[in-house]
Amino acid sequence: MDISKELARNQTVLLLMSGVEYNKIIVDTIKKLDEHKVCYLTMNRTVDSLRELFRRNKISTTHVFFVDVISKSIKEVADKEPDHCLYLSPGSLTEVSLAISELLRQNFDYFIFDSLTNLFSYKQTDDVEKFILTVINKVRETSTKAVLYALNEQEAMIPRCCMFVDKTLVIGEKEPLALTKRA
Amino acid sequence: MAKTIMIVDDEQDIRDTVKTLLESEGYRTVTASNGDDALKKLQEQTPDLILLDIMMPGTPVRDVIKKIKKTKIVYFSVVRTSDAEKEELLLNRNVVGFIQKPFDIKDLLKKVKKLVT
Repeated sequence: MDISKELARNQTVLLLMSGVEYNKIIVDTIKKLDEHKVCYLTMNRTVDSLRELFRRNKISTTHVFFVDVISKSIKEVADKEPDHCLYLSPGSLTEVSLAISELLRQNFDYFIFDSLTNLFSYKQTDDVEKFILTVINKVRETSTKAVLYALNEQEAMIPRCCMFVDKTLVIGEKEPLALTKRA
Repeated sequence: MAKTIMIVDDEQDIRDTVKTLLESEGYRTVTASNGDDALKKLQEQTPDLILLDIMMPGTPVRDVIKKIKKTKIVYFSVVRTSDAEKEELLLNRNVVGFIQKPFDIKDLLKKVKKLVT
């Protein structure tokens, strides 16, 4: 899969993957986008954990602005590392949504949403759907391309996720590239 | 005497599953739906181990653990942290380990047994 090619044809792409593939996919994706300005929303792992993973794979993250919705739960952090990271509390999706709207005005080439799965595990389904739709609509008001990750292990949420995006790519051992396209 | 495990998770499915698993192995269990609920229940009893989800509504877990004095805590979460963060968290009072969700049942029971023995 070449995510940059998929994003050339579609503004919003959902990558559905198994938990086993997750690390490889997020590394490969950020590698493909390395010469672009990227906004990375993490709801799955702390920004330090992401940076550690990317560093181990020799990937620079100087072009990436992170929005970390995890770290504040587990440790004391400043609200912001200027130019590198914004730390938000996980409790308020409205706060996250407002921050994303603000950031998307800064002409990022790509927006990465990592991941929908975690969002569904933290919040009620209705709130999550409203949040995802708001974020996708904000993306559509810009020229930013969005990649959303989700694990294909939560079958109930997959159709809900697919309906928000232009294209869904299912990545797995038995199903290398099953494609669906939004009507 | 049976050891008591407190399961703190805002997802009822997780609480129920872990409770059933642990009780089938002979443990007593107490459940709490968030950190505040856990702190309230800890005023009435002292479990031998707390399985504590990291991401829950209410008081952030980093503040909750400051108020837990006597019981070992295992973080029980989908959240992934860096090695440095793990080390930092393990320096914190009673935190003795991590169990990553989704968890392997045998692994969970093995870790719990090790920590309460």
